[in-house]
Amino acid sequence: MLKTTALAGTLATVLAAGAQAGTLTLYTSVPTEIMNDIETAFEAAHPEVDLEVFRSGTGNITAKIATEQEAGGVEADVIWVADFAYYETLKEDDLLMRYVPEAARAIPDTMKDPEGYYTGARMIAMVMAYNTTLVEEAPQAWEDLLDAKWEDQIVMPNPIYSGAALVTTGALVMEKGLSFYEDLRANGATVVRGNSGAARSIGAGEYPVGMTLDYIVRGLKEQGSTIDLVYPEEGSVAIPSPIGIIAGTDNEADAKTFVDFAVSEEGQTALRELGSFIPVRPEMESPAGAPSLSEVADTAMETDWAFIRANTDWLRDRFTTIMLD
Amino acid sequence: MTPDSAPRPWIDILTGRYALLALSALALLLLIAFPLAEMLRRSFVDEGAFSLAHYVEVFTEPRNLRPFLNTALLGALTVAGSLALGIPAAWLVARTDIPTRGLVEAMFLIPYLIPPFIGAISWIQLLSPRIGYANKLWGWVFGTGTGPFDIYTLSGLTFVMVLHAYPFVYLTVRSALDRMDPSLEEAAAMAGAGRFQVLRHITLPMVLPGIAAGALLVLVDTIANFGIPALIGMQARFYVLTTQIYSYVYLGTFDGIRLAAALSSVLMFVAGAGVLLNDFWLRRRQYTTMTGKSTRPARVALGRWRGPVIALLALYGVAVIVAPMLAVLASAFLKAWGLPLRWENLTFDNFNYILFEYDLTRRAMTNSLLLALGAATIATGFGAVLAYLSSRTRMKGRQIVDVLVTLPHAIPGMVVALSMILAWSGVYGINLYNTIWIILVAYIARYVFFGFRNSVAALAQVHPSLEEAAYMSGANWLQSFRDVVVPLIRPGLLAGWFLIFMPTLRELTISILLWGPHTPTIGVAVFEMQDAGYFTASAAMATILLAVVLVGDFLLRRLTGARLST
Repeated sequence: MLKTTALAGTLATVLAAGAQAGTLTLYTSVPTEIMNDIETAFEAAHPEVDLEVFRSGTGNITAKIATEQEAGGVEADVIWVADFAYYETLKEDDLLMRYVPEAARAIPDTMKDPEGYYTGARMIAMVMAYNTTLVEEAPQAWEDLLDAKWEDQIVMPNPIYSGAALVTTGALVMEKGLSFYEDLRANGATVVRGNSGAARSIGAGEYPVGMTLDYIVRGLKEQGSTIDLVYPEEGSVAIPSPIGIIAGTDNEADAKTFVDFAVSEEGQTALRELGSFIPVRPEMESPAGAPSLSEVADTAMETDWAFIRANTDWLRDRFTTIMLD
Repeated sequence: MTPDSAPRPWIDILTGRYALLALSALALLLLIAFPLAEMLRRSFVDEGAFSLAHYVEVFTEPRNLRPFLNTALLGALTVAGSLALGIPAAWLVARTDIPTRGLVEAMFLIPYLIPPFIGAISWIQLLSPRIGYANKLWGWVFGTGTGPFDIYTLSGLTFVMVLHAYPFVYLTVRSALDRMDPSLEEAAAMAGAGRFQVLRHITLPMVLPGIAAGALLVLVDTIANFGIPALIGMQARFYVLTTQIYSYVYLGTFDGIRLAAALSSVLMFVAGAGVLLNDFWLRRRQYTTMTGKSTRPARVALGRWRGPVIALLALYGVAVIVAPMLAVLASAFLKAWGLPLRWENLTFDNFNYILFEYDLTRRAMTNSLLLALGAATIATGFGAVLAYLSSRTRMKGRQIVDVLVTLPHAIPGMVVALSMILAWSGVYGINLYNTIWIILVAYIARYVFFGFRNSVAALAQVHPSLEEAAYMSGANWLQSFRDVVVPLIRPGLLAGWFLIFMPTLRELTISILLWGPHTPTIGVAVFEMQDAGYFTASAAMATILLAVVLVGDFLLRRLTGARLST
């Protein structure tokens, strides 16, 4: 018995040195279930590529890449997170490889890097969501969330974890000032980690209203959840979540294949069907009930990417002090 | 054997044995002393020079100071609650004529077996604001639509912490009560003291060291706890030291890591001091009045209280043990969190997802199994060698071995993990970060204590003359160890192996800081899913883990005949 366990143990330790060669490593903040489906679709179309996905919030991924950089090399081959501004930082640090996929020509200029280092691959928007059983009159503007009738009933994502929430904080602070968040805190808003969690909470009825991403709500609604969304009057926060290839990747060919897939018509259709995303290709239709790409872009709140990029730490710190301390 | 080819036992013994043992001692220093020292050192370094800046920041910035105060507050509250629950429970089992005593004790001790973060998840299912099952039940019973419970509060957090920690008090107090010579109480009764007077003047003072020991164990466990304060406290904006360290490390910045190191060092001292206090002072003062006579403690007859007490126990069992487990089970089968419990809303999809589709959980299960097998084997073997070093040799400084082996076991797991990050992230040439090896190394450091302790106990029962006989028959040290010692301490080795295997399988506080894209563990997977709001998936994984843990612990106890003890 002793010998067997000792042998098993030693064998286990040896086997544990897992093999990672030959796989394409993707770091992404696309929600798990959706990414799972997209991975299946991609691998069906390109069976020669072994895709491995590391999924976490943009904040965690940013931290991971920073640590990996220090430790000697970024492990990811492709990165696909929600913060458009972050890619400028990556580009400046020479961490991105320049690649312009054929299909990217169709994508509007505001949604990609003019120099070709990254390109938007899905259009997501921070909106308000509400539980259709509990709420009769849904809030129509961001300002409505400050109304006393929603006291202790609001849930929202954390910008330290979620890139989309970070961008939203930047946009709302620019538009309405920090007092908006101070008033939200006074109104008892609860902060959870991510957009999926916030949406599910709302759908479950744990919190009647809140902030979350449009495609998540559409997906849940499609599954029969009692949730619906509102594109706020002041405008949603629209983010053309970009995809980029890490410079120095040892899997360049597969990385390009994946990026090609993501922005191709085939890939964008998969994104729309599997994730309820609004495609970044203007000629394609949006998911049922969703506004068109240009509609979202035109009605969205102004986002100053340079401002967000320069003030990421400050925004996180202010949010922490106002909403979390 | 001719005289010419006869081995020279004494020289062989000296070089063979001492070489290996010296190597082990060195390995121990590298494994434990170096990372902890490095963590301590880094906390005093700012911009390359010695500086107290991080500690100043820790103690003056409200954001860092508040976790200290909160940790102390939570500790005090949890101790109070654990005493309130644990002492009566122990007294009930040890000193009354309650029927089915074994079953009652098992019921009281079940929380001890459940990983704390699983407990947190189950109570979240029950007490979530508006839609927790308890709230729904309340709303249905009282017709109010929903109930008043909100777990994301300090009281909710304390509630779950107490339910997890009170078994420590229960065990120490019951042990103290069992070991007490009842004739002292009988003498008092004969002198005319009433029941409560006996309790107050005789029983309580004699049991006080046991109570103190239990309270100390609860305190140390509370300040080292991560899972419960992370899943419940953070959403309630109640941050403690462990969750603050976690937040700082996840920022990924160097300042973050240094602040985490400073917080961690303080945590290490406080927790370590608590454990040392318990081990060296309180244990000595536990009054054992075993007199060798058949000491059957006088059992208080419950009489007419028997019915109500049994009813209360049944209520307790249902509300505190059964309900949370059912809640997790129910959520594991729901299509989506919050849906009413109706047949059309149930599905096997969640189990299917985590077992066959979701990369994170699949990787986690493989990793945890491999890590548990590897850590248990290596730590048991290493622990055995160290035990031999400590109890069979006269090597100088072997007390240091004792201290080094106990240290990572006594301090919070997060501190151990952080020290590993600082030591093995490439600064000194070896970079294990993001690999499974750093987790393995941390586990070995953390759990070698069990292998060591069990081997020491087993070795104590093997008389040295048996080894000497082997030497005289011509064996060298290695052969003697392998053929004489090991077979004799085999039960101890096996027990130690399982004592390491089970906790590493379900561990969270170490891997939460050390995991990378390819190396999640089961604990990390459950935590991540819960934190991200995938309640049905985390419930499914929690159910599986709970089943494994409960069955495993049951088998372990059957196998080793061990009784639960602190």
